[in-house]
This record gives sequence, C-alpha cells and structure tokens, in this order.
Amino acid sequence: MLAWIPGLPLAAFAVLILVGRRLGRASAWVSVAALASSAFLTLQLTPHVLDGQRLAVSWRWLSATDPAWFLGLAVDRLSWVMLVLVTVIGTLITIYSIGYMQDDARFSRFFAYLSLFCAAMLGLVMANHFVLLYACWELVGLCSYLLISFWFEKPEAARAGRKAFLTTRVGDTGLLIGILALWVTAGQLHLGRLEEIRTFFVLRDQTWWLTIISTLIFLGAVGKSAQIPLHVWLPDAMEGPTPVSALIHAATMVAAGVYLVARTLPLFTPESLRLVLWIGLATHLFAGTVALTMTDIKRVLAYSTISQLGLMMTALGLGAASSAMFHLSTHAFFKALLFMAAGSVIHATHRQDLRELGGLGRHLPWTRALFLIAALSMGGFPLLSGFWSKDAILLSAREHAPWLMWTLLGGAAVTAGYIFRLYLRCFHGSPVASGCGTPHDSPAVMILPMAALGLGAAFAGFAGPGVFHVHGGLDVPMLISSSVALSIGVTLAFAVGLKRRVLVPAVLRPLGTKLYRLAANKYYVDEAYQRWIIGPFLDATAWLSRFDRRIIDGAVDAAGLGGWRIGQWKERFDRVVIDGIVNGIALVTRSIGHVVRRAQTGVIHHYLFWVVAASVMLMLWIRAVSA
Amino acid sequence: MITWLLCAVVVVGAVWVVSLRNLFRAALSLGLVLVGVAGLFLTLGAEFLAFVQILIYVGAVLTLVVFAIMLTSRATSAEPADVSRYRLPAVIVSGALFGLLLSVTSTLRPPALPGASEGAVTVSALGQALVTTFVLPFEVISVLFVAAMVGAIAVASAKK
Amino acid sequence: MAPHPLLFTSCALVALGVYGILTRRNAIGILLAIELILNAASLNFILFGRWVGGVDGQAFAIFVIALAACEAAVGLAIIMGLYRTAKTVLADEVNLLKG
Repeated sequence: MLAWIPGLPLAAFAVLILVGRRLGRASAWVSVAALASSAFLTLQLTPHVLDGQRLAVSWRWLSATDPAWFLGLAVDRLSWVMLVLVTVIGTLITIYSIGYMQDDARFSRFFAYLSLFCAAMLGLVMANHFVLLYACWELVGLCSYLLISFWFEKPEAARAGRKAFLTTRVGDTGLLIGILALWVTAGQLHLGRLEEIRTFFVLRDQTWWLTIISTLIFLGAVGKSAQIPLHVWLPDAMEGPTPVSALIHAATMVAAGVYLVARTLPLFTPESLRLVLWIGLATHLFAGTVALTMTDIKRVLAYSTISQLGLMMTALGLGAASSAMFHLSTHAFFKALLFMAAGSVIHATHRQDLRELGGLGRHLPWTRALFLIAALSMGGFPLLSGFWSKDAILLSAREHAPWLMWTLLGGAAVTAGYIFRLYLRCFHGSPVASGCGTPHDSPAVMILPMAALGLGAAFAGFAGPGVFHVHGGLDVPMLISSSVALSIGVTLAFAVGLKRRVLVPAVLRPLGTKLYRLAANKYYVDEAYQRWIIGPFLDATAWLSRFDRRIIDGAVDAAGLGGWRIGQWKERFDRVVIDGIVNGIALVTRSIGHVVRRAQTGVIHHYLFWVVAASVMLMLWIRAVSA
Repeated sequence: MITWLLCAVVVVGAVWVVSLRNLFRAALSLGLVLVGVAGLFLTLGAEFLAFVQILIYVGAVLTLVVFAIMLTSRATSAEPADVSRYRLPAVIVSGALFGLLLSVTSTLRPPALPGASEGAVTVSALGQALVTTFVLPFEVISVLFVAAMVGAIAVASAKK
Repeated sequence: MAPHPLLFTSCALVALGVYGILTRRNAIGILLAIELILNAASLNFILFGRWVGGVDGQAFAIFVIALAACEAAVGLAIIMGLYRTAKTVLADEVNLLKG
C-alpha cells in the first residue's frame, strides 16, 4: 500500500505525458485526483505513525553485493510529516494552478511535470536506501529544471532553469561522492541502519570519516536548500510559473535538503554540525537583509525562503531536528500561501514590482486577508503557527548559547521587517496608476486552496507538541522577546518601508547608503561568482581552446600530413609494382587468348571437321593398338 | 544380281547428293538413294521396313526438305558456289574414314546359324516385339515425337 | 578379300555423308548428308538383324526412321528460324559462336 503514495502521482504523470493533449482541461483533475488520493492514503497512516511504528516495504534489488541491497519505502514520523506536507500542499497548489495556468498552451504538460515533481519528492522522503534516495533526488532536480524553465520561450526562464540545475548539481555531486564514500568505507547504504554505521565508525575510531561523509551529504543539502554559497539559483527560479515557485519553496525542492540533513543526522559529528550551524546562521541573516531591499515581490519571497531555510539549518546544526522539521512544516504552509497570494496579485495586475504596486487592499480583500495571516504567522505573531516553530528553535538556541538566541531574535526582527514591508507596500498606501483597469480578486479555484492553506498557516502550530515532541506550553520570556522583535520589525517596516521616513542619523548616512547598496546588490555574490569562478573558467577554456588549436591541432595536422605522404608513396608503389604485376598477368592471359581464339571461328564446318578428323584418328589408333 | 544393281544405284545417288551444285537436284538424288535403300530392304526380307521407308522418307521427309529448299530459294539461288572451298581436307578425312570402315567390315561374313536368312520377319512379330520387348524405347520415341513437334512449331512459328 | 556388297554400300554412304557435311555450305544440304548416314545405319541394322535372326534389327531400324523424321522436322524448323533471323541458310556465315 505504501507504494501507492508515490505511485499514483507517477501514474498521473505517465497518463498525462502520453494522452494529456487529448484530455485537455481534464488533465488537471487527473493530477489533482492522484495527489489527493496520495494525501488520503498518507492521512490513513497517521495513527500508526503517531504510535511510533515504522512502516516499511522493500524488495531485493541487487543481490550480487554483500550484503544484498533491499530497496524499499519506509514511513516513520519524519517521512510522514514530509508526506503530509507534500501531498496536502501539493494538492492545494495543483488546484490553484488550474486557475493560474488556465490560458497556457502547454496546460496538460504543466500538470504532468507537477505530478512527476510530487512523485519524485514522495519517493525521496519514503526511500529507505541511499541509492533510491539519490535517484529521486536527481529526479526532483530534473523536475525543477523542467518547471522553472517551463516558459522556455523567455530567455530568462531558460537561463534560470539552467542555473538552478547546474548550481544544484554542484551540491548533488557532493552528495554522490558522500554516498560512494559511505559504501566504500562502511559498505552499508540502508537509511534505517544509520545508527549501526555510526557505531561502526566510532568503534574503529574513525569518526573523521563520518565528518567527511556528513559534510559531503550536507553539501548536497546546501545545493538543494539554497544555502550559502549555492543559494544563487533560488531567486532566479522565480522565472517559473508562480505555482511552481510555491511548490519549490514550500513542499518539495528546498525541503529536500532540510529533510536529508534531518534524516542523516546520526551521521553528523560535532564538527560537521558546527559547519551546518554557521552556514545556516550566515544564510539566515544574509538573505534576510537582502530581502529588505528587493523590489520584486517574488524575489522578496525568494530571499525570505532562503533566510527561513537558513533558520532551519541553524536548528539542525543545534541538533534540534524536530524543531527544524516543525519550522519546515509551518513554513511550508505560510510560504505556500504567500506565494499564492503573490501569484494572485500578479494574476490580477500583471505587475510584480513593488514600486508599481500599492493600495491593492481594497480590490483584493481575500488575497489581502490571507496574505496578512501568512505574514503574521511568518513574523511570529503569538499563537499563529510560525510563532510556535520559531520559538521552538529559539529555545534550542537559548540552551546552546545566549548570543545565538539574540542573533536569531535580530533575524526575527528582520524577517518581520521585510514581510511587512512587502505587505504594506502591496496592499496599503497610495494606489499607483496600474493602467489595466480595476484589479479584482482571483477566481474561487485559486482562492479556496489559499483559504485552506490559511487555516494551516494559522493553526498548524498546535500540532507541534503532539507530532514533533517540541517544548510544549508557552515560555513567557521568549514570548515577550519574540513579540518585541516582531513589533520592532513591523514598526520599522511601516516607518521606513511605507512612509519613507529617514531614521538614520545624518552622520551615519553614507555608511547606511553603502550598506543598503551592498544588500540591494545581494552582496555581489552573483558578480563574485561571475568574476572569480565563471570568468576564470571561461578564460581557462579559452586558453585551452587556443592550446587545442595550436598544439593539439598542429600535432594532429602533422600526423595527417605524414599519413598523407606515406599514402602517396604507397600509392606510387601500388601503381608501379602491384598494378604492374596484375597488368602483366592480364596481358599474358590476353595474348594467349588472342592466339587461342583463332580456333573459335564460329563456323560449324571447322568444328565438325576437327571432330570427324579426331574421331578417325582415334579409331585408327585403336585399330593399330588392337591389331 | 539385283542386290549389286541396287547397291550401284544407291552409291551413285549418294555421290550426286553430296556433289551436285543445285540443291533441288541433290534432294531428288536423295529420293533415288532412299528408294534404292528401300529396295535393298526388300531383298533382305524386310517388306514392312521398305514400305515405311518409302512412306516416311520419300513421302514426308523429302517433301519437307523440298518445301524448305523452295522457301529459302532466294538465298540459295543467289549463292554461286554452294560447295565450300574446304574440299581437300574433307576428301582426305572422309576417304580415311571410308578406308577404315571397309577394313573393319571386309572380314565380316554371314554366320552359319540355323535360323538365319530363313525368310521374312512378319509384321505381327515386329509389332509384338515393339509392345513387349521394346516397349520402353517405343514410349521414349513417342515422347520424342511430341517434343519434336512442339519444338518445331515453337522454333519455326513467327514470333515478334 | 572383297567386302559384302551391302556393307560396302553402307560404308560408302557414311563416308559420302561425312564428306557432304564437311563441304556443303547450305544447311539444307547438310541435312541431306545426315540422311545418308542415317540410311546407312538402318541398312546395317537390318542386315545384321537378318544375319543374327529375330526381329531386333528391324525394330531398331524403325526407331532410326522415327528419329530421322524427328530430326528432319526439328532441323528444318531451325533452318527456317535461322533464315528468318540471319537472312541466310549458309552455315559458315552463321558465326554467333565465334570466340
């Protein structure tokens, strides 16, 4: 029965890719039905999983190795959370896409890719073996490429898809090397036996192998979850259709990295966990400040996702896997909702630059309300879901080191700042002449899934203690401090973002401008890559090309010339000696033939004469002999 | 006595057949030879064979030959010398062959057998032999006739 | 020792037939010479059949005559076809087999 969960979306993909064109509009509902059935099956597993059971199905795949490889699917608490996220949010996003993509020429193709994306993600989280996980991991990467560059007619979209694929490949290669290293050293790739592997290395006093392997696995997660320094693909991925962005940011692609680290946490040593912590923290703060300066709605959301993923990685670095997964789940709800709301705005106005938007609250009441819920949840408004998960992480940080908690609180203020800047600039303030009539709310097929997500964004946090076993109850000091951080962020967003009040003292203004420019240019990471990595790479290729042309080609040409010379000499030899022999034989034969053919006159009398004469001679000879 | 006469007729006719320039006359000489041979058959007591010889050779084959000569007369009459220039080698070879055959056959004499030369073979005995002892060659000859007939028609019929 | 007159006759027929075949240019003339040889054969068959006794000689003479009839028919048909194709009945002018 477990195989049905990824199997149904996979079947939907097969059906749509084969006969999707004929199905037309109905193809969307094939996809929705498959995902909804998977969601239903997943929810049926709930009681077993909450009892702490581990459901598994596996089959012998490769028996030539020792031990034999049993590939299969397994569901424990961690996978189950991911399954719920992927199936439920995937279903809602698919329904939303029906409205968003209604005029697209490749309607059914879009839903085919969407189904495959979900199937790959489901396979990834259910895989019980590193090989199967890696296969699904690559499949997720492929689907992200297909979907980000879905509108490949736009050069930016094609470029963005390629960038996403190549950037994540860097991380994937790390993951692959890590898996191979694990196989070579421990000879065990089963995901259910990670503790055994750890003990294996610890007993042999080879924990440095664990550090290397876990760092490599983390590299894969860095690529997929867009952590520094491989985060550059995610903002560009906004070129894809908005539902794709929602799916990537909420439930599938970027969640895969967090899931991978959470899943393989037993392999991580204190050293590699410190690396995870630092990278996560740096990403959290870096992306948050960039998000404050972006003017494109979807880019703000993209950097916000990077930032939140950094927060999750920080939690993982603290070893608090359950807090990280909790935040991943709540984040999935409010981030999917934010993207859908942004998509709704874009759908209504055909604009996505904040400088051209404003005062939309009147025209899009539903969108505005849902956006507000999501923003409050993200900012950590008390009792909304984001509040619970963020506080869980903050509490873990407080146990670890107080400075870390204060840093994260600063990050929370930044988070609240950028998200409310976005909200206020979009829905409040003076309306900017949009020029395309009065915008109006999206159709019900888009609003209803958003409303369902809104419920999740508001109340998913109450599942925390039951499902994730995080700290239950309210921690009053933490409540107060995080609320203060939220208020600071909102106030600043209102004052600076909306009212354009200048708060920086005149003395510090040049420094502030400099900092702003630094953040607005995304800390020049892309430029640095262009200058320090891509540029030298291209120079090297140009140099190699010159080398090829001059030296290799020269050698090849010289060899060719030599071969040609030898060929010419051999040709002469052939012509004079070999042909001479052959022609000589032919000449001799022909001259013999010339002589002999005289006898063949064609005149019957000659033939008869010789026949008779020969017969007479023969008879005379016989007679002479017998006499 | 009559045997000698017939032999002389046959040999003279045969010389005419191969030496006369006019092909029509040569054909008539062949008729003379054929009739002479039929006479020799009679002296040997083969009356049936003699009649068959007259009927088939003189009546049918010779008629065909004459037809053919007349049909191709335009070609033959335009030809001045019908006898070729390879006469001397032909004379030598055929003379040698004649001498050889004579030297072989000159010693042959009729055997003194009891049943020998005791009158004619009856037609009924001949017929009996053809459908009993010689039934296989007889049938083969029949098939040969059919094949020759079809072949002659096929070769001679004008097809364009 | 003088040969038997009939044997002498048949030997002469064979020799004259060969001579005719070798010297005649006209294909019909060659056919006539062949008839001479065939007659010599049937004459010999009947002569030896009489010497030996029985009907065997005469039976083979009948076969020879039948064969001669066939040969004449086919030969003449070939000559007619040749005449139509090559516009000649002169055997030494037909040299399709020339090497």
